[in-house]
Amino acid sequence: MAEPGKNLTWPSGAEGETGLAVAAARAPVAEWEATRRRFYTALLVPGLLVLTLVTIVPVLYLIATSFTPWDLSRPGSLQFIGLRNYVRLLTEDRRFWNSIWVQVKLSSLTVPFQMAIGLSLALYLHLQHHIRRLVEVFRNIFIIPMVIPPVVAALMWRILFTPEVSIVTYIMGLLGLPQVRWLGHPTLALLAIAIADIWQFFPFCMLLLYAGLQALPEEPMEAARIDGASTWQLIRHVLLPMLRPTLTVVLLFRVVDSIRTFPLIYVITQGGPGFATEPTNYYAYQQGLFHGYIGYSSAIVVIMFFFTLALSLLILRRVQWEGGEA
Amino acid sequence: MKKRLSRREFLKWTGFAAGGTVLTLAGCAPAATPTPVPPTATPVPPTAAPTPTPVPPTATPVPKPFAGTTIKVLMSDMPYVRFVEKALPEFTEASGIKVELEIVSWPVLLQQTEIELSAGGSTYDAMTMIFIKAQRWMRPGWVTPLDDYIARDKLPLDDFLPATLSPFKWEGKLHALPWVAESTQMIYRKDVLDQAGLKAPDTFADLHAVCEKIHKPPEFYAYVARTEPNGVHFPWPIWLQGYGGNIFRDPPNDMTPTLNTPEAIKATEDFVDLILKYSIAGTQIYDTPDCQTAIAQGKAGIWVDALGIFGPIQDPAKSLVADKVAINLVPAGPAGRFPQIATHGLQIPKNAKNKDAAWEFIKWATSAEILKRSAIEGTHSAVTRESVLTSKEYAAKYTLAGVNVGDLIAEALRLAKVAYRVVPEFPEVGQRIGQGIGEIISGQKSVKDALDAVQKDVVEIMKNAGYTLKEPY
Repeated sequence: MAEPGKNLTWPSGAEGETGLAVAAARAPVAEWEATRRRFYTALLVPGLLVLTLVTIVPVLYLIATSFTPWDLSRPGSLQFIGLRNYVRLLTEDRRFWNSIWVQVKLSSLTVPFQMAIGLSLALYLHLQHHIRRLVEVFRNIFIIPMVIPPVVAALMWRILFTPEVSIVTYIMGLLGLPQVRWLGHPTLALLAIAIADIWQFFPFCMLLLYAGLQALPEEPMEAARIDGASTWQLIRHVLLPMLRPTLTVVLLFRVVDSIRTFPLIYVITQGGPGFATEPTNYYAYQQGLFHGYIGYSSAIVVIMFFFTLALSLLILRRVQWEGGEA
Repeated sequence: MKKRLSRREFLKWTGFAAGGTVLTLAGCAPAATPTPVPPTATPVPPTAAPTPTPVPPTATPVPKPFAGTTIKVLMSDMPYVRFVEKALPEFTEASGIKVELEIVSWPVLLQQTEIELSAGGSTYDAMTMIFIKAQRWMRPGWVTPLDDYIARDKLPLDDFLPATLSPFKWEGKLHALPWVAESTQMIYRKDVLDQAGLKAPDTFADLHAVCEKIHKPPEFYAYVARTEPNGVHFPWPIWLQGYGGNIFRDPPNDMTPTLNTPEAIKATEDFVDLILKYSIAGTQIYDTPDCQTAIAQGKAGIWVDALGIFGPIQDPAKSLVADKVAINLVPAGPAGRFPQIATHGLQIPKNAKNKDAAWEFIKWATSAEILKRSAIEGTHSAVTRESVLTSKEYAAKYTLAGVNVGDLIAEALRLAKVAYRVVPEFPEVGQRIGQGIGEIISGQKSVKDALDAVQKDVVEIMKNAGYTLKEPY
């Protein structure tokens, strides 16, 4: 009669007795852990599947479409032509390169100013955060630009930039200043869009940076204060370095978001005058939805997609480096 | 004695309230659209009078198998559409069909119709059939042919101006009924010209001279022009062809673009000169409402554009100068006078849900009675029916300064050479031209550079569309 457990090389004696008891208890626990993991995976899989379907599949379809000259008004134009769209975009399409240049100009104008204004207000609020009333009032007022529907904000700015009906022109007239035709001048039109964009999104920066500041530990600040640091020194040498991760995240958000500016362009300038305010996503929209060249428009969007992805990864990498150093 | 609500109690009651509201609203929701009468249903009962020939005194009685049907219609903001909007209750009463008329601006209409049709949508039962888009939409079969309906209801078509029907024919089938016989005309402040002792300008040179004399900024600007990229390609060819040029070399045979020829450059210089020197818009991009407002508020003197959008200027309720304006033919260039024409109609998208009801609406909206009333009671002078154009009432209302607008329309139809406009690629070509003109007006490029760039791009567009182009280009 074989003894159970005889084949196993357990240490014999009292130690072996306890070891056997522990091992006997451990095996079911390990099995239960594996079951538990399997259960969690099984619960997650449907959600992940849906997520994949909803995000990855359309992107794959987009990429596939970009290899065709698909024109919605031309039945039979859904055929594979390889990289022809991309070649045409990158080598022949001046309007595409112009749109990239417009996007670069727009983002370099809007993001720094949004962050600067947002950061200034956030710092002010943080240093005054013991005055609850002030913080509340500030937050409530300054959040308004961000929560107004983008189209409404765009309409508002369009009216402000139209000399015949704008209150700004009226005031300037009272002060004896000349009339400015914002939307008729290529540079001023771009500036107009930038101003509207900065106004609309500085609250985003302000709120996120304020939250970031609030989450910072108090001790370094107090220590610096005790050491006699001025407010400016406090900000520059204590708060900002600690705030870097948050700053990077906000920067990432704003840069990626600035590539998506659409309502302002659509309502205020429609890309004009000429092509002076036509960024890449608006150009893609024109090609795809206005003229029906879905295939070509997909190619533009794919390039934008990978460019934005690369940019995001670059910015995120910097955070990790910074985190590593700190 | 106040009872303090626990959180659980609160959530429970909120849930009940929300549920109750949803149920109540669901119960109050309007009845779902009943299944429409299938197209192959038995023909209209014999008791309904067949649609009579021009000018019936009352609305055609429509049988009411459509009672309770609601249709959605998409059109742009024009005097005709505003009149139809006002007259809709009559239609609903006569036919039982409720009409949700959505009115948008012209650039938005261009996009929305395109998106709807290309996606095979069934949101709208009827939409504007846009002249420059017609070929593009009929080719892939996005629009329902109307011949069967026309035959079934024995609708006579001979009252429609032939030039307004032919653009909507594809492979012999008619795809829309027209409501506006668009033509470019010149509207001007007769009182201002009279005061300065001037006659209505007849040539481009005259136009410059007259503008020079009546231009008194900042209270009064001599000129205004629509420079929006999707609209400026309607008035601009007046100059292009007036100087002997054309969009393509010999449409429809030779579709080689000729947009940077010496004639094109001269024409554009003239066109832009007027805008930069005398227009209230200056370098700003102006669209239809801006131009209408400029003239209606007495701030601008002369506007050369589509007759169909002059309406609000002649409406005393909307304009300060309704009785002070006159309309005349567009000025001529060295090569002749070339008004531009277009026509827009009403069509039924391929996947519309209530095609029969939509047809009833289209029939009513383009009937002689409604078109006549839109001209006499409204300000829609560019009607598409000959009976209306030649009627006494029309002559009485639209004879301004001794000129009958009906005659102007007839003359424009006679002189126009718009073979370039009807090709499916024209919307894109037109927009590119418009953007080029925008670059010139805003000072980004010289006339020659801008037109060279436009020519290059339009050659690309035509080549990609499969046309064979002949050198030089």
